[in-house]
Amino acid sequence: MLEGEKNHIKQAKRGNKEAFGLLYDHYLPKIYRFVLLKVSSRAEAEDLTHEVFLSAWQNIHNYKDRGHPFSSWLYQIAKNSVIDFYRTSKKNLQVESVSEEFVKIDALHPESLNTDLEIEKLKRLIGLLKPDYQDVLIMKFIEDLSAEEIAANLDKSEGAVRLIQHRALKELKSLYYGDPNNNGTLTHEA
Amino acid sequence: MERLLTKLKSIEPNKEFKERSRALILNSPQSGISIGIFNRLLNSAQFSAAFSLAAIFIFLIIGGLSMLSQRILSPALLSSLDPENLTEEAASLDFQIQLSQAEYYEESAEKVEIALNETSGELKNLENREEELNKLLNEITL
Repeated sequence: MLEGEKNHIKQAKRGNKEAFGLLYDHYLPKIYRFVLLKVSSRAEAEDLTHEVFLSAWQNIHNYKDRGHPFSSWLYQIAKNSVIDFYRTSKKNLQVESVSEEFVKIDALHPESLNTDLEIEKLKRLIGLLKPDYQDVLIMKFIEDLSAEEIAANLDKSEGAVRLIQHRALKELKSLYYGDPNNNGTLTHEA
Repeated sequence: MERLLTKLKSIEPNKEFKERSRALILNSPQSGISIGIFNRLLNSAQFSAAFSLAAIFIFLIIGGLSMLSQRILSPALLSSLDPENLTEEAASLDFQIQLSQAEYYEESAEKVEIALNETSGELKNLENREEELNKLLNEITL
């Protein structure tokens, strides 16, 4: 949580650009990663992330603190944006063609090639999981949110979050290390 | 697997994208604020209108309508409720009653006088007849 976040939100609600800028700087990487792991390219992730923060800026006067972290509001906008994106564009996340662009860009740095390939493989496999599994894994292991925060963000109980996390990890492991039941050619519609 | 997943933390947005997007967002109008103020004004106006209507209905229910109709439709009735007017009316009524009684007594006195005259005339006739009868009886007996 950003230091003095409540005050920044209060100022941003009054139209203070600097205050919203601080919120933007703090949450942009998290929302960007969350979106990127659900779409097929950096360009799409950038467009959607921009839409998320633009919507947040234009609607922050409607934001009400109900005890949930501010990030849960942003994650909810991001989730809805991704759903709308797939609904309107009718795009399927083709596993075979995921993020070639992503690999090509980062392959310009040979020292990070192995890491980039691993990241790309993980990203591709996460895309095969159910949306709830994706959300929990991203929030838990990439954004380091607690089970309580994840539960608030996803409007689920902490017990349900732990159960989803266990099942998601199990499924991801089976995909990563090779499971005869998963041949890696599945097509998942987000 | 958890260790592998943490490697995804290295994903960062492009710096150029971040600066461009930030500038575009912060320079876009936050139209929601004016809409919010307008909504607040609209809500308060709606509340005031509802409150006024409720007050009017309550006023009508508790008899305001009948009071208004008396005030507007029958001013004569309202003026009749003035105590001074009532006293004057009462006094004039007494006077009228006394006049009518006097007229009545005057008329009745004349009638009584006529009746008394008639009665006295008849009495005189009776006396005359009595005298005649006495004379006749005396003549018979003598």
